[in-house]
Amino acid sequence: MENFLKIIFNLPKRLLLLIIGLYQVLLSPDHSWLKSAYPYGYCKHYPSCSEYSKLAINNFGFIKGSLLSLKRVVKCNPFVEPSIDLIPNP
Amino acid sequence: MAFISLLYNDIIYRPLLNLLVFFYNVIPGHDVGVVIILLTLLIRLVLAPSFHKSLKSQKAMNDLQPKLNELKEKYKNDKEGQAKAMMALYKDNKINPLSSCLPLVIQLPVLIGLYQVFRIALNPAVDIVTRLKGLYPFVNAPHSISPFLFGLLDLSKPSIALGIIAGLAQFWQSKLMMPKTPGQDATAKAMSFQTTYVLPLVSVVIAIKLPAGLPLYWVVTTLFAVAQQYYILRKKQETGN
Repeated sequence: MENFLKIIFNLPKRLLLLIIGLYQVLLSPDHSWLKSAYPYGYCKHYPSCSEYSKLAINNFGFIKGSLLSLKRVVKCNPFVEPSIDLIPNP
Repeated sequence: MAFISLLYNDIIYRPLLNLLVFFYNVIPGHDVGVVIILLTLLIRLVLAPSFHKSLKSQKAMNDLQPKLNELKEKYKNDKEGQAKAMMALYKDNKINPLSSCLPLVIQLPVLIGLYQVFRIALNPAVDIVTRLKGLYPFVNAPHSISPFLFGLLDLSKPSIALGIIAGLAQFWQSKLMMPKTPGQDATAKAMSFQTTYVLPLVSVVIAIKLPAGLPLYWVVTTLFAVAQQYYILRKKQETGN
């Protein structure tokens, strides 16, 4: 029972991670086969936005992880300097 | 989830719908095809600066190639160190080859929003009041919307021709985009082959199933990108580098 609840509870998180994983395999200009079009990388920051999101959601869960990811994507705009931007310490 | 759909509705769907209807009201001829072309150019212009910047720095990057390869070799097993060293190199040379995720991430909801607008507002089977639900009070509701491009092509229905044109345009663009570096290894070559040939094919397969307004958007947005690339390439030649 406890295990079952845990699976249900973790469903949104798993789903989001799956979507990001699919994005990385299919569409990402930094991780998928499209990366050959961007030989120097695409994303401004290190790690890339999708990698950051994966780490953030894994470490902080669905809600806080999503918010951190959103913040990161908004920060990845043409008017900021590239940076090493790691997820906060859990 | 309700919050997200509300957000989507107010930030993406309604502005797009209102822009579409507004243009439809004001342009002579009241042609939805022309409206979609105008709308696309507007979206492209808003996103142009970030795209422009990344294209411009590609040439500068080619000159730095040897140094970059050196760094890659040096920090083979330390991704973070490699990223740090590269960023320092970019800074020293005052270039910024990296794009930003935000414009890329914005494009997808815009595409979905447009799809919804075409699906609902252009659908002749639905009554006009339902079709125009979400119009701002200051935008006049037309009595009817004819879904035709130049009076010829029904944009609310799928069009095979337009889907194929969309794929061809995309093929042209990726051909132009491909970095012409002779020393690429086999995997990089295979990958660039896929980008040039497979992705446009995928586009065609998807595009011929969608309301033709969407492939029309795709054609215009891709041609805009091609024009932008040509413009930058020509400018480079004129300045002699």
